[in-house]
Amino acid sequence: MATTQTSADVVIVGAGIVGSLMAEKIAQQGLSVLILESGPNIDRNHVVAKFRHGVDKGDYMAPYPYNDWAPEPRKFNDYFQNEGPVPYSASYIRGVGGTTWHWAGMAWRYVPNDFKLKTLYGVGRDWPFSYDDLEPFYYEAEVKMGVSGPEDNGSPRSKPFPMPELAPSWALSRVRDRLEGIGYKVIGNTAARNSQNYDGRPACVGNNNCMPVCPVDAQYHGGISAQSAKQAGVNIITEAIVYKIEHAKNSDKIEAIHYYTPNKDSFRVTGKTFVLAANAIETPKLMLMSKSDRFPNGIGNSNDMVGRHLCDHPRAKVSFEVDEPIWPGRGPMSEYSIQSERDGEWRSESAAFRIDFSNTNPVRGITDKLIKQGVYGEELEQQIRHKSAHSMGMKNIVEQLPDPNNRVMLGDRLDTLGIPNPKFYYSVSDYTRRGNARAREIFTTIAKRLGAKELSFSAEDKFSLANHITGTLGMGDDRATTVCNGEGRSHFHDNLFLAGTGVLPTVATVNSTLTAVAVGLRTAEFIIEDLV
Amino acid sequence: MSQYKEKAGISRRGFLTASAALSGLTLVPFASQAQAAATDAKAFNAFMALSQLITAKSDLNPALADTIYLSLAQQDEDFAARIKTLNAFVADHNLTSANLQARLDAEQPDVADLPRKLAKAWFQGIVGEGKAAKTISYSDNTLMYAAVADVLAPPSYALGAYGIWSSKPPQDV
Repeated sequence: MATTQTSADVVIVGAGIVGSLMAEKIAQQGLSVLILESGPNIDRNHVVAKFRHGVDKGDYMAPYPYNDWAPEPRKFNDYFQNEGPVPYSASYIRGVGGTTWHWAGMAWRYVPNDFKLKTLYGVGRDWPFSYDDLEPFYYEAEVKMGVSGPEDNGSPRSKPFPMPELAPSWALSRVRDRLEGIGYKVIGNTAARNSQNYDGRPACVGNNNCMPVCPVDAQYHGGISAQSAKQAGVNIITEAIVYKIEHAKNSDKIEAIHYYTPNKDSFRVTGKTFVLAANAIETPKLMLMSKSDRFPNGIGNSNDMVGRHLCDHPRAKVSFEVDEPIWPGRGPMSEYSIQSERDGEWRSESAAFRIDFSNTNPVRGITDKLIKQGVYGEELEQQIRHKSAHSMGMKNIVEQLPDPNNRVMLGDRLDTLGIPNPKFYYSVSDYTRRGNARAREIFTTIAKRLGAKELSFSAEDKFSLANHITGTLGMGDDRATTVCNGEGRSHFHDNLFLAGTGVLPTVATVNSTLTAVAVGLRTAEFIIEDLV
Repeated sequence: MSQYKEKAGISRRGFLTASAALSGLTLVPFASQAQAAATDAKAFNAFMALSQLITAKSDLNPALADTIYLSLAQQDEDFAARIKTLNAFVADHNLTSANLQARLDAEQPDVADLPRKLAKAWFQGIVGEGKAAKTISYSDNTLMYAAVADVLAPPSYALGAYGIWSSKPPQDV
């Protein structure tokens, strides 16, 4: 095995949206930055073509390259190993740009009370800083990502969105009008989606393919962040599978990071500061793997907290037929939602949530069902048309409280490079189940108002997870129960920083990307302060 | 040109035009001359008759018809015989699209899988099952998208200029 030396001021693991935007910001201060990315480069046009040729269009991972030397959860493999009562599932992309290649672009801020759950409601945990502390970084992230939305959405702003709110679909307008006055106000989503030409990218043209890939880059993604990082002088090494974090012989300082190439040549990379931004499952895995005599539990894990407090959004779903043709599928896939249940007195007893309405083109699923039923001829065409026009789906983005038993561990299987798979213990508490029960009542109220037929709820003990993987690298002031401090700095290694959705100590009721980017941009300032 | 193509009235020129209309998505290479020559004209005609019954369309895209037929025949060596059996049964019993599946399930289970296969090919653009499944069309020619083409585009194709989704879609559905 060859060992080659490389070096930079700041070495970042993971070229996703957070790692890349941090890299860009740090490089702009004149520091040398190197990103190690386990996966390959991803080409948008190739992904679009593969999607169009693909058979399983509901599998959002299928159009992306798969490599057994940098495995990720797929339908055809058993990468995730489960030991808990609820199987944990997620999908993420190992490649330049990471998992925001396929997302719905939702870029919500948390609401201020999300940051002090313990103080206000006696549940969960507090963040080490407040909404106001993060606000400028939220804005910085929104400008970078091109976010638009309605100003009045529950999260106070110091400055307006960088572009106007997206034009509403007919479906949004109709549902908003029909639900007026029942106490559940419908608004358009805040999203990283262009309502006009912005930063060299075009406005949305309604491809309704935000997942698995926006074919025109009207929706922001991590591939664009990686491009910005490169333009700022960042060096990205792809197909560099990091397998070990090395500390100094006689101190806690991190000295180097080791990676394999796909054919298992080993390289050693030194630096002054190290950032792990390799996803909320892969980063804990890497820390747990990096064991030594001095750190027998792994790097950054002297308190046994790495990988614990895993949270996601274990959602409930409902689908039905609306009594008028609203025609979902025109415009973006996730377009509008209800915010009123994100915070309230009841939060001490029952989980908060947002309610999302689907605006995904329903034609494929409807046709599938009809053909299975043996419907043919004119009837088939008419029913495809009728059902597509009247289709409605809703789900709740429900809060899960951080529980140390819910966790990512090292699994029992090895990939082709000898690196273990992740193993999970995952459960859903009564607190969250009560939130889902409340959501079902609201679903019913809304469905009635929309003249619903053929109401179909997801089973109460089946959860649809959201890939909002948080908590496993949680930030906090309490060194005993968290992995890093409010700066993102490891409690045990001064020159090791953590970033990505894993550092969010609570999952709240929104998609985690925007908050992870904002926190990462804040962490970048502490890194710069250390080195400049 | 193979015998069945002559019978089905497919000219080379017609094929090219039809292919161009598929937005460049001709995903399955046409079978070899040898395979095409081996095609049973009666079986192809049976396939076309059943396709018309299942889709309620008399103007089915000929290039797509070729591709579907050859793909199904490639995946099932008894396809020609089975499609003729099905067509004869449908004709003998005057079956309609409404009672087709129920009658086959009850009286002719050996060929009861075929209508779904044809429907899936024409409406969804997919031929075959599981690992053998392949996409043969993904455009407005794919009938499930043709059915809504005045309102929706197949996902990944642009609906139109920014904001077009605000307009009122047809209400007579």
